[in-house]
Amino acid sequence: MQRKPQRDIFPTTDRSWIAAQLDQGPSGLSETNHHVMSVYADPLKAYYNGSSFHGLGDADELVAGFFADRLGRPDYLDKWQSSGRKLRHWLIVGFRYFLLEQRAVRQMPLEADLAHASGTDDDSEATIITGAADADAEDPEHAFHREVARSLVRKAIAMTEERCLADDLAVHWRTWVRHVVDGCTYPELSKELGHGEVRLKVMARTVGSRFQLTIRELLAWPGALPDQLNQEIQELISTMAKE
Amino acid sequence: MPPSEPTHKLTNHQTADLLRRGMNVKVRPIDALLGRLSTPDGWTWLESLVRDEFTDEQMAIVYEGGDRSSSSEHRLIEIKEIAKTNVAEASTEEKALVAMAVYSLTVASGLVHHGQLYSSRPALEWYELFADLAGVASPHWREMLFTAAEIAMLRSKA
Repeated sequence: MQRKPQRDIFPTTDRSWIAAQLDQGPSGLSETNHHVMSVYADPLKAYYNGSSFHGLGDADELVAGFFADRLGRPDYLDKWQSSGRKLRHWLIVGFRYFLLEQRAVRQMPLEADLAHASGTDDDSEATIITGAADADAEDPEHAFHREVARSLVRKAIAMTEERCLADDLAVHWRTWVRHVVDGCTYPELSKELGHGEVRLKVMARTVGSRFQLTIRELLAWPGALPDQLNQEIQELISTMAKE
Repeated sequence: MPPSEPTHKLTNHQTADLLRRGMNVKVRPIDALLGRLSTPDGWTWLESLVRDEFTDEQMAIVYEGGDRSSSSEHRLIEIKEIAKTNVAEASTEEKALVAMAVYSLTVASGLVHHGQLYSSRPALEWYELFADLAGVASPHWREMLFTAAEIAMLRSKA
């Protein structure tokens, strides 16, 4: 009788770069914290600068304070992983909560949701309803998500380049980036790089596949299914069209 | 046109286009293998499991294609058939993925060393598969896969 392959080794969920890092222990946590700060700092500043919280203080300092406080908690990202939520949603809710805390500490005029700021645990944080903290929340939040899209793409490009160079695929990388980002045609690249057009297309596809894997790794959250990630990408694309 | 610094400011259109490239619109059987091979120990994992199922001599034939004789080609086809059977009948998914890798490599070898596509699947599909596999392959196998992808692409246009 024909035996069917077992399905217990490779889950159908997409691999999460952060989950892989966190599995490595303290060094992975440090790497992840650095990653989260580098990718999400600018989007959080964009949110802050467009929100009614603006005026609480310097954007750089507030975002740095948020990261120091939340990422300084050893289980902050573990709680995110357990939540099943997208990281961008987890962070923006946490940041809004942090800003409410800061507003309270500075004894500035309070808004309707200040009552939520009396606690500091992550569960309370997660109960804040998006958009409830200030009337202008929709636009700055949209700016946040749009900047997340840009930042993730930049990060995916940088990581793909790093991985290609490490694997001695420098020409392949250059072919892809010149074609996809700079818009060069293959005949142009053939003259520039000294390879036939067919070979260049093969090289570009190889890097394109790596880029696809990388951006999906960056976007994935624990348990994310391929279709959910496609939907997430579609949502991020739609933020680029709304400016 | 001078090369760009790609991590500099991207337009909305570029960002959306690059995001779209992250969409996985089709899930092929090979994608599970590519996902496993793209992990840090991917090819080491594959090579160690290949040794359980195929001899060094068989893998040397896959790599080099044997000589140009019909008997070499026949042996390569035999290995391909073993791998194909293993894909369908493997007791675990891990073994099925290993068999799929060997199957793909034999088809690539057939194209590169004997000029034959040992498959009824369209050459365009093989071009995509070989190019994707080359991206996660060890340097030892990479050049053969790139060459196979190139040949398959040319055939797809013929």
